[in-house]
Amino acid sequence: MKKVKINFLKIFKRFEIPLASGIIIIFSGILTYKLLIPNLFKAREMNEDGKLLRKKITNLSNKKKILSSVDERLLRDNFIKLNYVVPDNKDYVLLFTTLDQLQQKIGISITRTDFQLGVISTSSALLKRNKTADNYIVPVTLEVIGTIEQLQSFLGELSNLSGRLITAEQIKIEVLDFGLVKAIISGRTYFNPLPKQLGPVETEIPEFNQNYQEIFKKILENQYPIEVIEETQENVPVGKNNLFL
Amino acid sequence: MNKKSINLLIIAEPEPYYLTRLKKISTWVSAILVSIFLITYIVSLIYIQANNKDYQQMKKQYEELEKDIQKTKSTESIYLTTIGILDTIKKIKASDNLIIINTLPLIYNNRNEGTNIIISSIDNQGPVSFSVKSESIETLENFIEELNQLENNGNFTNIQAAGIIRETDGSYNLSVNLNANKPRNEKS
Repeated sequence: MKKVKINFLKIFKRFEIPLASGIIIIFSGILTYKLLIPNLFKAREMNEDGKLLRKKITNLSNKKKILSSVDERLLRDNFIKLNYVVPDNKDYVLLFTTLDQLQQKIGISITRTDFQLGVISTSSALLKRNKTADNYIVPVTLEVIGTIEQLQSFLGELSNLSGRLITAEQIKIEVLDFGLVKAIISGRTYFNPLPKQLGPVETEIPEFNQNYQEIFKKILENQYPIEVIEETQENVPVGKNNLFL
Repeated sequence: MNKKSINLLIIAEPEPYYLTRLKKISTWVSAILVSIFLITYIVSLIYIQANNKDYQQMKKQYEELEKDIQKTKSTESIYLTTIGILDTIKKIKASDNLIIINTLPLIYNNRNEGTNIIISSIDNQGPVSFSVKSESIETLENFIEELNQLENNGNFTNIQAAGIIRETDGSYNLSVNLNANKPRNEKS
């Protein structure tokens, strides 16, 4: 028994350094697994969160900067003008008002208006969106009689943001007597449903860039004064925007 | 008297080469591993401490900004709605070729005496067709010359005569098909 013990001690003594090293290596491994790896994960997570937070802060700072430069009163006061150019629904009243005003202004005679309301039975009509132009379209066909000069002015006025925006896609002109022409204009008018809710607070918002400023300025210049628009809307003998509801 | 000497010290057996090598290597490996662990651990602790402070500051800044934005919700609402409409108008105007509005005066305003456009059709994508009535062959030639001029100026391309009819009163009726180009200086 004693001999065995002596032999064991002999062997232990012989391998004590490699054994101690082995224990240290195993202990280091355990510490790495328990302390270092979680720490590294935490550091990485913190780094990623930091980056994300920094991005959100940049977005919010930009948003705050943009919003603080906005003249809310100007936008609010003139929103009706914008809504007059591209309303939030098909709004046939606005279309006929625009055409009536153009008749008076230019002297052209609109003999027929075909305004294709499309689906009216459900709100699904509002979901039919033109994917290419990213807006809602209502086809319109107009038959007008006037001189060629009046016709040119009329076409210009349809899309110069002075009233409901209408773009001409095709025109067929026939010459009549007394220097008059009859034109059938196939075109499009547009509507743009308003967003029902705002996005998350950190959502980026576009800048009111030069393009937007120019369009906004043009609308303010070309549109009828707000009082006239409101008065016109009140004078139209209908009480609702939708004929069928 | 002779003394007997007994050597009680056991002569150490020489260590095998592999054991010496193993001792050396294991010592180095364990020392290196411990050092790496300690350095990495200390660095990670310092990094976490430092970043935690930054992170907390950023979080505070974010919360403050969030509160500020929440206060301007009504401004954001009217701003986004306005931008939405302006963006729609911008896209509509950008997709409008303005071909009709530009081609109409070219066909109707610049014609010679003695020629009349009877009927015409203009598509905003480019195709144009019309019939012109001319009192004589000379006025018709002048009209065609003018069309060629417009083609040279880049207003039209691919002008084709679809047919010509001579009426009993000596007048000529010419049908023309052509392609109108987009105006060069498009402006919304």
